[in-house]
Amino acid sequence: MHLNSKNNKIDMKKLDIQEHFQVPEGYFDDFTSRMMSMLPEQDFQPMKVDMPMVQNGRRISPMVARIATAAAVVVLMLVSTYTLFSTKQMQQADEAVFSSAEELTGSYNANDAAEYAMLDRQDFLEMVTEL
Amino acid sequence: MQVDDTSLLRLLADERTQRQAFGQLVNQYSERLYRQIRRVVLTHEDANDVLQNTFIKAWQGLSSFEGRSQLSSWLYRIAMNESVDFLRKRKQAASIEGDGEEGLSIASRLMADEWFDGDELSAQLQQAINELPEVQRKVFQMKYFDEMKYSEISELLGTSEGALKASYHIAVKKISEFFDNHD
Repeated sequence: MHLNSKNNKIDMKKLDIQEHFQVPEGYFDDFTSRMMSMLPEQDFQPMKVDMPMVQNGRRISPMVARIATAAAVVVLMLVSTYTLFSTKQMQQADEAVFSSAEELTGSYNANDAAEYAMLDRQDFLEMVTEL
Repeated sequence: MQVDDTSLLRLLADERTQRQAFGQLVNQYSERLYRQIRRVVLTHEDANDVLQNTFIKAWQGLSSFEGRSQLSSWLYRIAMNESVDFLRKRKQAASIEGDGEEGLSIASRLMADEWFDGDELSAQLQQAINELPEVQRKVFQMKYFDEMKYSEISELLGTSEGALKASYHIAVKKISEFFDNHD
């Protein structure tokens, strides 16, 4: 026995690190053909495999791909929310300009005025606010 | 000729090449899986039976592989489930039939196995390892015999490196205690 003399414990570093499991000679040489002859016949098994994507020659694991997709969705949602908010703010700003334009044009409705001047609404508003 | 797992999966997912690709899978993984199975069931005859069952289960369950783990991890899990199942069934059968072999220590059975060439100390080490809880046993074998890194074991077993280090140290302590008690 390989014992550590100080505390009478087994010294793992001195134990044999081989497992001593032997196999009959040539066992693996014909294992595949024996195994394949034992496999039952069966219909095609469709596999739900996420084929790993490859970017710049490096494999991206399906988990990383899922995280990247989730991150992209979150960014898209943030951008959409921001755009929607900005558009609403612009509409509110437009309305304010529109009101001031109505004030400037007296009794004329700004839409009517724009139509009369053959300008679209935005151009008309820009024109009147430059005044 | 070795085929990488990505290519092998593509061939397995194709109806025209599925069976042929499975032959390639058997060729590439039989030796590695055999080693893992033999560590659990210990004798060659039993390891041979369990290895065959493992590949039959994998063949019949190809559609259950979803690519969430590596092919090797998926096969390893099937092999370990089959090994544990095999031992459980044998134990049940032995208790029903009153088989005297179950009463023999693992070390004694190994010494009687023609495909085990270690001495008594090596057989006792195998017995000590076999008495460890499953996770500690796996971690010890991978670290001690295979000299695998904790990061590699972590990927295979899906356990954190910290937990693996703790398991390994506890396993070493228990094996030391086993030898203390058997002096």
